Amino acid sequence: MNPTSSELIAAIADVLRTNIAPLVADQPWPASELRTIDALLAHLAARVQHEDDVLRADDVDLDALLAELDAAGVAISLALAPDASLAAGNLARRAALEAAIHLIHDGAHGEQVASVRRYLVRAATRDRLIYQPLADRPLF
Amino acid sequence: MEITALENYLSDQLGPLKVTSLHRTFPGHSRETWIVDTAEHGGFVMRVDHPGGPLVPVPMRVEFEVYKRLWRSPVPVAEPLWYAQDVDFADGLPHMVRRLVDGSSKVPGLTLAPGSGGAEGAKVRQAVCYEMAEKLAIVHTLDWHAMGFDEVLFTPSNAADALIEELRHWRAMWAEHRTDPFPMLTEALYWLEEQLPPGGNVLSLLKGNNGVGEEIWRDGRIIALSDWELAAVGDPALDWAFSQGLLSLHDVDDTLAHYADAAGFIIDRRRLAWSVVWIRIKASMTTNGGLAGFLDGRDGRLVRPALGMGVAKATESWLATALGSDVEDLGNQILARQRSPYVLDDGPTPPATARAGRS
Repeated sequence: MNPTSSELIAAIADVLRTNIAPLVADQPWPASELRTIDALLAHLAARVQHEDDVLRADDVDLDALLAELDAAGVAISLALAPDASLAAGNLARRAALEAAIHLIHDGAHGEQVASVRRYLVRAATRDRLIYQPLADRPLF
Repeated sequence: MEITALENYLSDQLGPLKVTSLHRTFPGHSRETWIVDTAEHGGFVMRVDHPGGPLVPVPMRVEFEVYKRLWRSPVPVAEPLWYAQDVDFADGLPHMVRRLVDGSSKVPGLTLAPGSGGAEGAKVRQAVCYEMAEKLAIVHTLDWHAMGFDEVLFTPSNAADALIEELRHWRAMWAEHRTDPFPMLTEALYWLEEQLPPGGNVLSLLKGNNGVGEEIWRDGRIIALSDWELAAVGDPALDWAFSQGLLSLHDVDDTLAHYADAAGFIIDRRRLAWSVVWIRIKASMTTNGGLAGFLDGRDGRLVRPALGMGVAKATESWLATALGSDVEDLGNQILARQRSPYVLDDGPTPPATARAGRS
């Protein structure tokens, strides 16, 4: 149903910014809380819109990378529960990669380090869709 | 903070008193800072941990121990009075009390821009940088071992390994406090390790968190160095790397030359450049750790998720453009682009909430 979640969140943020923030502009703590709320709402609007796509794309990318590392003899520890949510599955994959990173800096896995760094750039680029609205605003 | 409860608590410690004013300083997301005035005993600064713990993963007791040692040193600090926790005050949260120092975190004239203040603003900024340099030199030349700072602070085994040991110390702390896996930040730590600059022949007491607005000023001089929660023993370049735009306030070479004259040694510019990159990553590790208190329900303040996600993700986004590059070049680029928040802006009257003794 329209409006979408993102549109509603944006409208709520606009009301807080336009109608409420001026009322507490001279009170540092409430004004700061509203700035934080504004940043988090901008993040939420983007998260509602993009998170599923970002996580699915990241999972595909991570599965390929973890398979490549595994083939190169890097021990990969990934336990995915069959009913894991999209978010939990992605976190498990990222945790597996993080553990692998500690293993590839032994001087013998230069190619794998390069592959990991290329992936990390792609992942951070995807993450910007969700987190850039947060970074673009004052956090407090 | 409830004023009657505060009055009762302070009266128990100091004798009968009336609190004549009480306000919380802004910002202060790491810990609450309250300015307390009394008719009978003057002013106090009370630092109280948030219910979700401090943002910085260092217990307040450590900061208090640092203040105690500094109070008997040539380093100017406010007098520390007591530390307590698990008592019938502030919900048993850790807190410390020190005397209020009569000064301000603002320096008049600092922000005078060409046109509204002409050369006067530049003179003020030079004087401020010199003063900061002289005070940091006092900190950095203190005999930290004789004064027992290594009893309470992280201390590297030697000067040459100070940077790598600091990095590994924080990596271990972060492994305990972080809220999610962050492969980018983890990989970035290895990238920094690969490019550690050589040298390092000084181990100093470090303040950890520096900047004009962190300190208490009066008549152009620092009368109290404040906020020691990130204090450590380490390479003095780290303090200059974490100085919140200080090195862009005035000519960087002149500022560091003045420091070298006062300290008796120079800041290694390669180690400074590396430290500038490291400090960015360290800041994101610190703020992410503060998110734990939100996730486990102890601290519902929204600034925790905002900082805990926002700073780490912004750092990851920046690292996507930096990972694998030359760390020294990158650090020098950051230094060259750094802009002090204090330059070229007309100086406002300091708000009442920013008066003496903050942080």
